[in-house]
Amino acid sequence: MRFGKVQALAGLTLRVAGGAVGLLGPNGAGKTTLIKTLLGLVAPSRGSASVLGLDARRDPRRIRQLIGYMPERDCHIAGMNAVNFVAYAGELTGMRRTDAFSRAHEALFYVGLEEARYRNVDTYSTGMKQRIKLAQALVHGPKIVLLDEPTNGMDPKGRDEMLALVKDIATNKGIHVILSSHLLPDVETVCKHVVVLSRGKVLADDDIARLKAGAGDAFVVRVKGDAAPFLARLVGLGHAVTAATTSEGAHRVVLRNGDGSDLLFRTARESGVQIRHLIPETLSLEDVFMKALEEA
Amino acid sequence: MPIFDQGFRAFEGTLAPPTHRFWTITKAGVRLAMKKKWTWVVVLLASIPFLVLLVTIYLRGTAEQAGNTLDQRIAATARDVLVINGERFWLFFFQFHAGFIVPMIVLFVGAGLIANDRRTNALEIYFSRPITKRDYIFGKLGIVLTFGLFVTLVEGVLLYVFHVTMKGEISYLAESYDLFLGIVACSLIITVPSAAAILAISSFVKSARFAGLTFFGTIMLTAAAGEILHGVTGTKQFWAVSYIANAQQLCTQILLDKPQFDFPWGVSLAVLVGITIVSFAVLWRRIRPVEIVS
Repeated sequence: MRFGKVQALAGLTLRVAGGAVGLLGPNGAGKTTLIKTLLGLVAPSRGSASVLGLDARRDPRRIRQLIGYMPERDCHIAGMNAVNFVAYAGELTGMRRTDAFSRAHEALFYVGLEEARYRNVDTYSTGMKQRIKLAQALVHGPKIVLLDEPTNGMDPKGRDEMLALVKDIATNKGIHVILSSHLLPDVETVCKHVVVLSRGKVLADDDIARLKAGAGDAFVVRVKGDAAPFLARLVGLGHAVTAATTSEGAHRVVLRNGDGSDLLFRTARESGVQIRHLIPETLSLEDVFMKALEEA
Repeated sequence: MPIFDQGFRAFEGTLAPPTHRFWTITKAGVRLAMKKKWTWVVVLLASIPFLVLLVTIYLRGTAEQAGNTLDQRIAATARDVLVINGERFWLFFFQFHAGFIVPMIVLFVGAGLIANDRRTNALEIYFSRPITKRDYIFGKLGIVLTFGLFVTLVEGVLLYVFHVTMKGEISYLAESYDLFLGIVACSLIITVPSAAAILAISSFVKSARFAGLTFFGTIMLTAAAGEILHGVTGTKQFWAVSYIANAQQLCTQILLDKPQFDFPWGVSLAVLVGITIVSFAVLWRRIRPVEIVS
């Protein structure tokens, strides 16, 4: 996928099975371009894309009937209240007017906007606008929903509620979810599977649990003596070290090559320091993400 | 952990095939416009000529049929004052619409149609649905045309039908079929180019007010330029630069079979067709499902 001189997606081969899938990547990684390709809004310059067995180039309108899309940016129809807006979104997808209105009420109840559904959307707060975007994505009963940064601009409570909703959609409503975000905890909360993109390429595509297992082992380490040579030696061996995480000067070390804690003791001995504190830690998705970016 | 409404289920109904979605956009746009009280005020104001002419036709018809039932002097006065001089009657109707009413309606209804969608990023909502660029453009055009053609075509045809009814002669229908076609043609000539132009201007900006001012300014500027050039040169040829004059010129040509200004009617036709084509080209280029950030 190319826009002028910019290669937005490069040689990307990807097969997304279903359930809740996270699309991770830094800004400009190609997440939104991938979503727009799946929606059939941009045609790949080479290769093909298919959604639910339909060719994105040949049947883009049919695909968009089966998909719900929650855009990243604030968007609504000026002058409409929430019910009319969501019902209109349903009508545009092909629902009859009566069905669209009935479903609009249900969707607005579901996302927690029942009290505000007759208010003009222009007057909504950021959090409410995020919810109504989710409602319009769900109104026509899509098989897949594509959510682009669904928690943008939300306060912590609203963010938790939005993530709980997304999780409910994926687990209880039988709708496949593709969640695009650069917020790793969001993806970790909702998704079992993750695709990591950077500069238009797939860096990782697997279950989060499996990726975490393969990413190494994390430890919080504090040493007696000068830690610098010890840490430098670890970095030299290809392991990841973060800055001091505690006031006592403990560091977080991720061992990447399948090496266990023995390596830490050996390296400490070779560096002339003593390990005084060693706690194994669970790896986060951030570690997986950083590892993927480093390897790229 | 919130308790979710378990009543929300996947939609099991059927979805219509993704064709003719422009009609959905038009219907929703017309409904939204009609919820604004100002739309009613503008349409009512725009219908004043229609109402006046309706009364004129009624009084004239009544006077003709008065015979001995009305005072002969009143009937004679009515016949003299309320002359419905065939095509000239309709020319008055359409010249007034071309010069003022349709630009006003089109400006009021159309200025925000795309500008507001751009301001609120609504294009992402439209194009994530089974909507094509053609559906979107024709859907929006349909909204402006609904109001524009209501005050020209619908009101014109109603006047024509009323006129025929008051005459009470069915043979008049056969005699005046070209007048009927003229009404249809004039309505389209007045409405379509201005509707396309307001949408094209609206697609450039994110403010309905700015789009409206630009459209109004362009109409006024071209009319002023025609007036000034006419004053300086003494010929009416330069009226060809005025949008209003070209619309009026074509209506005169259709209804009276002679031009109003000192230039061929083909020039006016070319100008209006040109405006329409350029407006559609602009719309086609400006309306994009995906914004490309350079």
